[in-house]
Amino acid sequence: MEDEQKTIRSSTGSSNPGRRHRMIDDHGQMMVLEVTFFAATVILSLIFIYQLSPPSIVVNKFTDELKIQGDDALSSLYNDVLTEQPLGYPSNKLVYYLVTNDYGDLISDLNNWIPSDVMYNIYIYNGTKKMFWCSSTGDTNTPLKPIQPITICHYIIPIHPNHLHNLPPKVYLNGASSDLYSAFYNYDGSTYEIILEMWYI
Amino acid sequence: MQDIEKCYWDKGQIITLTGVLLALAVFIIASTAAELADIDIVIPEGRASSIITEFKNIKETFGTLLNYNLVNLSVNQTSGTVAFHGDIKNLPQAFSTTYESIYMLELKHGNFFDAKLENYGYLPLNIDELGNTFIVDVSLLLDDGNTCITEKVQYTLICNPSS
Repeated sequence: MEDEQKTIRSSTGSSNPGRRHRMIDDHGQMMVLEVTFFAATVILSLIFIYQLSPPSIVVNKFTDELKIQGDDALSSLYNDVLTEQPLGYPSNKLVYYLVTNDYGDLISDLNNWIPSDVMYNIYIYNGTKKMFWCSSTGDTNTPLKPIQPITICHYIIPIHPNHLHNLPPKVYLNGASSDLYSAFYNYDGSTYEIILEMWYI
Repeated sequence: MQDIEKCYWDKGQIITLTGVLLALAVFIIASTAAELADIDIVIPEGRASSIITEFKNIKETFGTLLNYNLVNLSVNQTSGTVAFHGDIKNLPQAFSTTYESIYMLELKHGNFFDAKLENYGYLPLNIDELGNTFIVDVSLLLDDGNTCITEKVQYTLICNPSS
């Protein structure tokens, strides 16, 4: 019996003081580790809670995406060149549509870029005067009443004054004048801005 | 006997630590997932509020506007070709007109626009275009209070001598 107890005592190492010290040291290390992990857990929890998106950003997501789509639409229309180069006219689609009063193709091309559940009004601005050009329904007289939230895109376009008047009648609109000329007849500058006012229905 | 109990207690601590480690792993995975989900929101917001699109628009159109403000445009009725006639000496005035028009438009949008005419000169392309084609170095700046974009751009202008 005494021999058995001796065996147990020796197997647990109680008779070895070095092993006892090491166990006490391990215990301290474990506590430090525990505290470190606890602090890291608290910090990560706070980061996790912080990263949960605030609702305001989620609401803006749709208007942000619409803004990007509108910008891309105007930029693409400006940089798109007409397949058949019109003699005497600007060759980029956006300016050509505005100069030649081509409301239908302008709306049709814009609709290829803008979602079908979006309505819009188009305005032309020269820095001093802003005129309604047309709406997504094709109306050129009365702008549609927008619904909040409204997304606005704008694009600067160069149009030479002679594109609106002073060009030979056979080349230019068979003698008719551009609606832009009627709206900005006393403006001799070349800088215009197209403003796209959009909203979801 | 006490040592044996201590050994078991250490085992318990290890189990607890393993639990904490697992919890940490879950938090890290959840945080990463939340961040990945936010990318869909943050990127459109960043693009929509950025002035890069506006700067690109100005950069693309400034040269054409400058050319239009410099010359008088005429169309040959039979051939339909467009001719630009003007005097290159009027370039500083045309530049000033172009700058002011864009400055006014950008000011309405809360942006500050600045442009400087750095240099300009004759571009010898070929003998037929002698004296008609010019290169212009312009530095453009657009600032919305948070971001400032500046770039030196070179434009090619056509300016046939007035007949």
